[in-house]
Parts: sequence; structure tokens; C-alpha cells
Amino acid sequence: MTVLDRHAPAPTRRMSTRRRAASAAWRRAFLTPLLVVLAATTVLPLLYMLALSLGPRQGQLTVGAPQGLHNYRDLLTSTAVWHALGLAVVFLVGALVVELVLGLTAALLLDRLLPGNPVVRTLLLWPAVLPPIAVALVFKYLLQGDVGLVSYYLAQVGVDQAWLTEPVSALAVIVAIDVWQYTPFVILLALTALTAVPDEVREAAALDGAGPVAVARRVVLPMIKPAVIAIAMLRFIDAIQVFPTIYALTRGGPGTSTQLLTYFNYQAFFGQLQFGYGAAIAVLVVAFTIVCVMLLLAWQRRAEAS
Amino acid sequence: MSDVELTRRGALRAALAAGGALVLPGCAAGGLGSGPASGPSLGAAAENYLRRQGEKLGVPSISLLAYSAPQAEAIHQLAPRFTDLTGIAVNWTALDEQSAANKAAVSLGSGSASYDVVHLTSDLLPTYASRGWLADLDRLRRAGTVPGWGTSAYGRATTDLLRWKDTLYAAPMFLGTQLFYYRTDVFRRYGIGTPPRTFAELREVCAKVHGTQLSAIALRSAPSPSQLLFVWSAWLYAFGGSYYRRYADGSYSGVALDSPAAVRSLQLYGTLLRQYAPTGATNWSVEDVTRAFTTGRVAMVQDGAVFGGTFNDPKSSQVAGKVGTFVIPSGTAGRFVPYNCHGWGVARTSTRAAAAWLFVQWATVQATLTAAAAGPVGFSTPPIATIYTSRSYAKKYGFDDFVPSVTRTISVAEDGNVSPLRGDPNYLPGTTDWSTVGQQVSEQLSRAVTGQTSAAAAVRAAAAVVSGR
Repeated sequence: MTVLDRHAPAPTRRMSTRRRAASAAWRRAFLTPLLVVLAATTVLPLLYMLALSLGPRQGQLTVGAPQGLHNYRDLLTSTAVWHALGLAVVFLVGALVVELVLGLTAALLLDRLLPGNPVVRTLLLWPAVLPPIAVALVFKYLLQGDVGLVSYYLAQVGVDQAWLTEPVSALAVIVAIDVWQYTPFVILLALTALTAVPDEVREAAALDGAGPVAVARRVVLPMIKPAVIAIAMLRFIDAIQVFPTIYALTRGGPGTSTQLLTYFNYQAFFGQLQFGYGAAIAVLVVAFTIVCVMLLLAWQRRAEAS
Repeated sequence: MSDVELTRRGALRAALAAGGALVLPGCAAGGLGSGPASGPSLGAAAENYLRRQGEKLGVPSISLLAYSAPQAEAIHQLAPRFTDLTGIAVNWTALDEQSAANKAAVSLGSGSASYDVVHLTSDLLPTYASRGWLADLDRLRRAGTVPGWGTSAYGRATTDLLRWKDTLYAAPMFLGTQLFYYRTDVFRRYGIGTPPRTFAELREVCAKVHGTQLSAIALRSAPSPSQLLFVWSAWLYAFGGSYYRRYADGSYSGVALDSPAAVRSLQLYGTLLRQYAPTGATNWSVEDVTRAFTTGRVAMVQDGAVFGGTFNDPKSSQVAGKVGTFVIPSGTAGRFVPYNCHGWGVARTSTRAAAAWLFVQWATVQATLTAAAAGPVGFSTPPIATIYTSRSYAKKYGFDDFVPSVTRTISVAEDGNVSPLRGDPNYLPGTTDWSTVGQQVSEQLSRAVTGQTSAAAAVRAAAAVVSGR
């Protein structure tokens, strides 16, 4: 009995170890297809792009022996790339700031006035699901020259603006279309975030004498700050890829005034068939995105900690 | 649109055409012959050759990538006849020009041989050929040609555009030249009896007819070699300017763009667009220009001769029956015309190159091109000059003075006035990096057209791009 007692835990330990090993094997088995898909759709294209960027500036799409960092050297010394990056930053800051300010304000109002209304939520979703190229074409006809609907009526009241052919207004239109299409999406996400704020907290603040604006600014917004940063991050990842709007509306013009980084990348790769150089620009786009996302993640972690 | 769908559609067309030929055997017109599939009659020798080659090759199908444009669509409609003769089906993919060029670059650049035949512009040919993407057609020709097919039919100004280092890489299928279209009713209303012959007269006419209801002119102005540069370069040359100083043995040297002539021509181009064109027309592409003309918003446009049929077609144009044409005006250095061509090239990595080459010959032989021009699509600029004097062509496109304007434009090109450099067959410089340089040049010049900078500063910046500084 004593002997048995002494040895009693041993089979349990063995079984537990065996079960853990089996469980790990199952986990690996379930994860493997996912990892394969991830490798095929993300890692391999990234490696291909890196390999291409180390090849000749023009040449082929087949990967050959690396020829050095000359494409990156050209990239870093090109004023055109920095110009395109600068325009991308102007677009991103403009679009994200307006979308977040408008989106959060609208969400705070809707949360109080029409809480949990499913019709509002459905309506808010539809601009975001429209294909960007279709949206761009509609805006093209609204704003075009003297026959576009918007241009025509503005001209009737004395505002004669060539929206798509003036550098500043052309970029402003690209920002405005992004704001029109995605602000409702920001409202929707912000409404979801606001459901995490308990009513008791607002009521306690109100009992302490805080008005609705003060409650929103000092209580609600700090509580949903990590979620707001996550929304900004989602919008950033999407907005950095802006392309159909530029392609349909301005083709990067007038001059290069709407040639944002992604369109500049497209021009180098397909317009000028500089595959190596185009791949290097794509690497820059990925690096820029990763750095910005890491900064936003760090900010979000700090917000969560506080 | 998938290849399968297109093949089905092709089969359906062939069936319908076959049915039509059975029911209406006497109705074939414009060179179309009777047979299982409607199409041009190439003559017994050529058709027997195609049949023999089709049997010998034993290739069931080839794949083809084309621009979604009248010149390709007209051939597409006749393609069942090629299949009928050779037994080779043509899997046709048609995309807009930019998407097709992107897809061709990926297919040819990766050596995947997704397409055996590709539609390309002569501007892209030096780039494609220098990278080894296209099959040497001279080598394929040595193995035999369809009776009646030969490069002499096209004229030197055209075939030279599709050669690189003295080797032919594509067969001409379309002639890309331009002329001025104008509203005859507007000119009559303002008492303008003769269309402008010089750029000075053009400016006077613009000032005369421009008003609040109707703008005087629209021109391509978007920053791209195929938009702004393709139109403006004829003005540059007419004013005495050039991109380079010398051309010899296929190479260009000495940058010449920073010149008073270039500044003057760009000033005029920008002034006309800012003062006499619709609002916003300083960043317009071909679609915007042609739409403005067909909807009656402008009195004049300089654009492709290929649009003649569309502009005068009541189904697609509100100004049909009121369209006149004139050749591009002269400047101090003479008259120059935009000129390029499109061709069918065979992918170098194609495993069905002989079958692809057979199709290319069938598609570019005179009988096929004559039938294509006479067909319902409105393909008005085939690359063979004699087609323009044919009865079927005159019947379809003989509005106002369109046919004489086109033939005079082709004569200007045949006389060498596509480039100011002696011996240069290219309208825009035929350098292997022109897609890069041309894009950047057009971006710089576009700044002056929109009024962001002066013509002198834009030309200086563009010249720096050409010189590689």
C-alpha cells in the first residue's frame, strides 16, 4: 500500500505529460494550415519584393542574383520619393484628424440621442462598403470642370473652383472623399467602444456637477482612448493604401501634386516598368507603415496602462 | 472578363455568323466572304496556306491580350474566321489600355507566357524589345509568310516604329495619328470660312468662338507621355523645338528641350487651355477631351484620327453631322504630326509562337484590315495607306473632309515630319527609358499648363530630367 502510494502519482504525471504532448501536436496541426497560408500570402510576397528590390532597377520580374543596394541608394537620394512621402503624410494627417474628430463627436451625440439604434448602425456602414473606384468616379462627375453638379451650383453662387486641376484643391478633394467614405465607419467603431463605458460612471460625474461636454471630455474619452487609438490605427493602415481615388480622379496630377506614395510606387513599377526601383519603394511603404503602427501600438499600451 | 467567357462568346459569334451566312448568302459586303464563319476573303492562296499551316501546327488555341479599343475589337469580331481557317481558337482578353499594359508587363517580365500575342504601342516597343520580351518577327518570317502579307504594305514610317535595332518585333495593326476636329456650325456662325492653317490663326479662332455656353478648345493635358506629351510635342516641333539635338544609329544625344521654341509652344498650349478651354481642362485625359467634343461643349479638339467614326456617329455623338476636320497647323519650323502605331507582338517565351505568328499575319494582312475598318466598330485608322482610298472606307468615313485630312496627315508623317531630327522615325524619343523620362517630363510641363509655374521654369526642369540631372 505504502509502495503503491509512493508510486501512485507517477502514472498521472506520465499521462499528463503525454496529454500535453498530444495537445501540443494538435495545436501545431491546426496552426500549420494557417501558417502555410500566411507564409504564401504575406511572407513569400514580402521576400519576393525584397529580392526584386536588390536586383536591377529595370530588368525582369524573375529574381536573379542580388546586385546590391543601388535601388535603395537611388530611393534615398530622390527628391521625388520624399515629395510623395510628404504628400502621403499630409493626406494621412488631414484625413485621420478630420475623421476622428467628426467620428467621435458624432458617436458621442448618437450614443446619447439614439442609443443602440440598429437602423443608424446599418446606415453608417454603407459608405465604407462601397468600392472606392465607384466613389471616386461619382465624385469625378460631381466635381468635373463646369458641368459637374457641385461645380455647377457653386459657380451659380460665384464660387468658380477648378477642383481637380488646382494642386491644393485636388489634394483636398482626395482627403474629403476619404473623410466622406470612412467617417461613418469611425462613428460605428466609436459607438461600439462607447458601450464599454458604464452608465454609472457618467451618472456619478453628472452628480458631481459635470455637464455633458465635460463628462465626454474628462470621463468618457479618456476611458475609450485605447479604443480610439486602435480605430486610428485601422484607418491609418487602410488610408496609407489610397490608390483608386487618385487613379480615377487625378492620375497623380496636376503635376505631381496628388502623387502620394502608393501612386508614386505604381507609377514607378507599372508606368515606368522600373521593377527593382518600384519594389524598393514598396519596401519603403511597408517599413513606413510598420514604424507608424508600432508607434501607435506603443501609444495604445501607454494609454491602457494609464 | 474571363478567357472562357470570351471563347464562348467567340464561338457564339461564329455560330451566329455561320447562321447568317447560310440564311443570307448574298449579303456579305465590304470584302466579307461567305463561309462557315463570316470574315474577310484573303484569296485562295492565303487561305490555303493558313489551312495547311493550321493542320501542320496542330495547336488548338492561342491566348491574346488586347486593349479594349476599336482597332482590337474590330479584329476580335473577325477572329472566328481565323479559327475556321486554321482550327486555332483565339482566347481573347481585352482590358483598358493601362490595365492591359500592366498585365502584359507582368506576363512578359516574369516569362510566364500567359499570353502568346500581346497588343502594344510603338512607344513601349523599345522597352519590351530591349528586355528580350518579344519574339524576333524577322526570324519567324524566314520560316514562311501568309501570301499577300509583307511589311511593304505599311509604309516605312509605320514599320520603323515597330523595329528595334533593325529587327521587327511587332506587326502594325493601328495608326495613331491626330488631327483637329471642329464644329462646322460654330465656324459658320462666326463666319470662319477656312480652318486655321497656322498656330497664330488657331489662337485667333479660339478667341473668336470662345464663350460662356461653348468653350473654344480642349486638349489632352494630364501629366503622362500618352496625354500631354503626345499632343503637345507636335506643337514643340512646329515651333522649332526638340527633345534632343542629334539622332544617329538609333541613339539620341544632346539635350535640346530648354529652348525659346519650347517655351513659346508651351506658353501657347497653356494659354489656350487656361483661357479658352472648359474649367478644369488643364488636367484632362483623352476620355475627357472626346466627351467634351461629343457632348457639344467645345468647338475644337486635337485628338486621334481613330475618333472620326465616333464623333460623327449619331449614336455616340450629339454633334454628328456637324463635324469638320483639318490637319494640325504649321509653325515657324513647319508642320509636324503626332504619330505612333500599335502592333501585335509575339511573346518570346511563347510555346505556340508559330501559331501566334500565323494569327498576327492574318490579323494584319490588307484584306483583314480593310474588312475591320468597314465593320461596325468604327476602326478608322488602319495602318495601310491604300485602305483610305478604298470605296468601303469612303462610304463609312467620308464625312466632310475627314478622309483627305487623314491622308494628308499620313503624307506629312511619310515625309518624315514626325520628328525634327533627321532619320528619326519616332514621334516621341524612342529611348529604352522613355517611359520613365517621358513621365517625369510630362509632370514638369503639366505645372506650366496648370499655371503653377512659368513655361520657362517648367521647360528648364523638364530639360534637366531629359539630361538625367
